[in-house]
Amino acid sequence: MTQQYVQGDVMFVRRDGKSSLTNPVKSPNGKHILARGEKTGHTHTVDASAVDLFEVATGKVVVVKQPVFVYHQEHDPLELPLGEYDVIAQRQYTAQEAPRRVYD
Amino acid sequence: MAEGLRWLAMYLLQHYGGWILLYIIPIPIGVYIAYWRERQGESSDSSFEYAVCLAWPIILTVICVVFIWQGINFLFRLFVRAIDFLILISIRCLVCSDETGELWRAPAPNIDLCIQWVKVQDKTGTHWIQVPPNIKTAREGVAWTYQMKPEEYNPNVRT
Repeated sequence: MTQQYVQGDVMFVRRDGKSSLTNPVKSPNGKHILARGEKTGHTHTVDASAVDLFEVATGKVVVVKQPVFVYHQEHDPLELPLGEYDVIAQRQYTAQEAPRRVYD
Repeated sequence: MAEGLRWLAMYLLQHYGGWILLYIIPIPIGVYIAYWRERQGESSDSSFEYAVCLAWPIILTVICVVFIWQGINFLFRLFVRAIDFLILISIRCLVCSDETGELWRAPAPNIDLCIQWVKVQDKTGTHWIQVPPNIKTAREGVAWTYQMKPEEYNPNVRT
């Protein structure tokens, strides 16, 4: 069973083993924004010195180099242990189009 | 010929029934009110009211065209969606409840047309998230929102 960590509308699913990741995301201000609220402007952020963030075809992958907290304006901080995690944004069904992202 | 006309009438009623009612119903009601006011002596000359009633389809068409032209037809959509929303939340019922949340359904004659939500609670409040109509349990619905199978969904930590 994979390890899963949920903070509101974002889930971090631990990847088995290490994969070769390219396409890193640079952080302009020392923080990585993992997901952003559409209307509220709230964000799921991590300290960029503790993690590497990569863009992949399925979304984002965060590599935690040292235990780190994910912060959000409304949710309690979420601690992520060492490892590689898929960042999965929650979605919702719409009858007319492809599923949309959930924004909290 | 008659069969074709009957089919056309049914088609128009099914697809444009609301608009047809909106165009036609106000006319006899308005004419009756004007006639009644005239009979009661409340109005000496109801010709203006009659004219408005009889011209109602034209007036409604002009109103709609102006609204669309001015880009404010979103008010119509907002109104209709508000009604849809109120109907939906009034008829929805609890289907399944488990440790992940609750599955609610607004029934429809065809299962593919029913609307389903999972109701989940966290520190920030209660959230209603729409899920596909083929979902059977709350666990399956919540797992679907995270792109998972029901048996895969098992969060270690949730904040």
